[in-house]
Amino acid sequence: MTNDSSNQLETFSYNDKVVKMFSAATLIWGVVGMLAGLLIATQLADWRFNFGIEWLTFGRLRPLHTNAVIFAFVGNSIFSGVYYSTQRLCKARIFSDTLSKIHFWGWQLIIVSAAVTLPLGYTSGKEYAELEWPIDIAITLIWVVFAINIFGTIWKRREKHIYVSIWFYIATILTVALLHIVNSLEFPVSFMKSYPIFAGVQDAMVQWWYGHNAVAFFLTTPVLGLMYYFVPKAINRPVYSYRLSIVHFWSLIFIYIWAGPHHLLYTALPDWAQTLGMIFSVMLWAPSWGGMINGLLTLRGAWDRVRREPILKFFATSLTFYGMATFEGPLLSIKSVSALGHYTDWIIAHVHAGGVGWNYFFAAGMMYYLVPKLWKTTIYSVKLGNIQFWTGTIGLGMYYVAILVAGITQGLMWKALDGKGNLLYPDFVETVVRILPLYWVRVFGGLLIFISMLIMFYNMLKTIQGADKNNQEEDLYTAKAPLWKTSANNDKGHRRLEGRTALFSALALLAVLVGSVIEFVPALMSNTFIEISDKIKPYTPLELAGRDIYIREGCYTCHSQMIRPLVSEKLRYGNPSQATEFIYDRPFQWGSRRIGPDLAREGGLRPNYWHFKHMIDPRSMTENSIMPEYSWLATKKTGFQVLPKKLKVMKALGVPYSQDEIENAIPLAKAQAKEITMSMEENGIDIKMHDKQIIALIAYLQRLGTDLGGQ
Amino acid sequence: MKSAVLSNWNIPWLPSFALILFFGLFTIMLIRVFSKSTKSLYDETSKIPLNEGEK
Repeated sequence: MTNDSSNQLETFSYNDKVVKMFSAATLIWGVVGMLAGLLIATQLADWRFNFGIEWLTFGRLRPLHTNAVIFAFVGNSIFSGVYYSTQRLCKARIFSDTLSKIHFWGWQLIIVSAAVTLPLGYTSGKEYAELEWPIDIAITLIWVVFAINIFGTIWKRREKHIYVSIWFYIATILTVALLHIVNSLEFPVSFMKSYPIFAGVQDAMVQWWYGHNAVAFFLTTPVLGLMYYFVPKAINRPVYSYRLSIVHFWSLIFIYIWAGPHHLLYTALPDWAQTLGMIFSVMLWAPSWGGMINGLLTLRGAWDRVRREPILKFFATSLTFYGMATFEGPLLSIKSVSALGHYTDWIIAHVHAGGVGWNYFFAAGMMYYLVPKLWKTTIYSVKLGNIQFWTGTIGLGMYYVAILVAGITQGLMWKALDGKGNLLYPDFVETVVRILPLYWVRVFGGLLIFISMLIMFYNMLKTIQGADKNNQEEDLYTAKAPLWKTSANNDKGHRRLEGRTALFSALALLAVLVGSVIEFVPALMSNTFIEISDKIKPYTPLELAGRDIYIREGCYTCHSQMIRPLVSEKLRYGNPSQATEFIYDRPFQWGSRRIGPDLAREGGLRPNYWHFKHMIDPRSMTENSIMPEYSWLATKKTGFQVLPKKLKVMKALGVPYSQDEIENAIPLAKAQAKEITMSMEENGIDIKMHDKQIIALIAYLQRLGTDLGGQ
Repeated sequence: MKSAVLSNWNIPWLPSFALILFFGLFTIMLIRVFSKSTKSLYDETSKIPLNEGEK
């Protein structure tokens, strides 16, 4: 950097190397994440695509898919865009090139760790937060590196005012840190196993406060920030209304954080929290659409270019899908709509309208803008860009419509009653078989989306290969020295605030904290007013071992454990679940979808042998079932040795295990395992089978919902 | 004791106060942001992305 004091101009360069690295990672992880999605979509259409291999089953790969597309694909695209735009909006080189490298390689290491550990079954069992505690700590550290780099750049900026995009980045950095740390509070049992400090209803509340706001503050606010930068850049004119963007920002971050409980409507969560979640979700319509309209109107007068240019095509479609998803989200948050849509594939359709329509398409538009600029060349093929766009759009259309119809069909069939008030489809598998053709349509739609991603990968690769390797030096820029830092600040109101990073950040955090605290404090105190039944007992050591296997296999990705107080659910599954039943559940396993039936009151419904056979060969017990075979459960041994440690950790977290139970955890577990195995001797099950994982899992399943007398 | 306090938590004016506070703050923000005096400043700020420094 040089300083020319005569005209107060400074010369500097931008660190685009880190942007290039994150862009390349975006393209690679996009392919990986969508390939995983395609595979699990195929597994749902035909169970044989689980291949009988434990680390390829749906339950283990589904978290891999979600983590790969959210944190690897979209995450890298966000970092790429944030590093590019922040430097330019601040007219300053990134705070530290070294921190940028640490951020990049650290994040990739985290992704690789996730890609290895999730298929191996190392999971905390909480959706979108499955990674175990050592990786959680790594995420925190790398996030701090990212924060220092961005805040450092803002601090040394030459531009006096902090543009609206950076506000969204600030809100993202602060809120994601808060969400991740609180939701990852866990107590390690071993190197890759932990139990959360929250249990049952509290854990559910914390998890969906995190889960919903991971969507809000990882998939939405940073992308909105990028939208406010890249759409004006692509079209070379300012945003339609900067004032609207201010209202958009504050109302969005204030309202969004309250909406988490809409994932738990009709559950055992207190009613007041459900109502708050629903109302604030509906209120989200306004700021979300304010942002969408602001983005789309920025394109006014240039729709002819939208027709021709892939960048604008992707941006316009992305904003349209954002509007659609943010219309559908509040709609699904209305209790009566949720009664139909929750646990069904409708939610999956909604998520993909946002994840593919909004996030993928925006990332694609950004890549078409960034890659040629970064490598100082032109795009390899505009035609391929257009083909990618139409392939992706048609694929998403097919996916969305098929899964929306499948979801509504499921919801209606689950609730349908005959003239006498009995369930019209009492056999759950009937509702699965009915939607299988739609699952195949989803596979085809997903295949098109994956192909579109491959086309982008190829197009970008050829673009990079076509760049002049001798023309990759950093460009030098000049801008006025930041003399405003030493002069008096005469701005007033919000204008003044825009120049003060620390105060701005504090107020943004406050806006986020208001909703969090109001929902959290009573929830965290819930144990003081939930009527705890003395019938609820901690899990036996063997049941606890079985529960950990249930979590490891990702059973929660297909089965819920929460019976809602709806007539059809009571008829199908039994009495509605009560908050008290989950006080020892760490983590809670309420689930969020029902590809298979709810298991909250599974205990005692069927004999042990039924479960044994069902796990080994589901179709022998339930014709047309799409559940994978879990043959390895009958060969792998239960980890008895670690049980005393597990009980000890549970006791430290407040579960009332006696010292005697902890010391005798192994013999107690073995005795219960032998009892279960002996009950199956007449069916030809050898007593030697007692130390296998399948027995522990049966013990857990047979316990579910029995404390209050089962159905 | 704690249980009794939480169970009998009933302050009828609190929801109305929260509602008025929320919409009050929102309205103040709207008025300030959309006041005519700030137009030129915001027009200028909205152009920041278009100027990334002279090459």
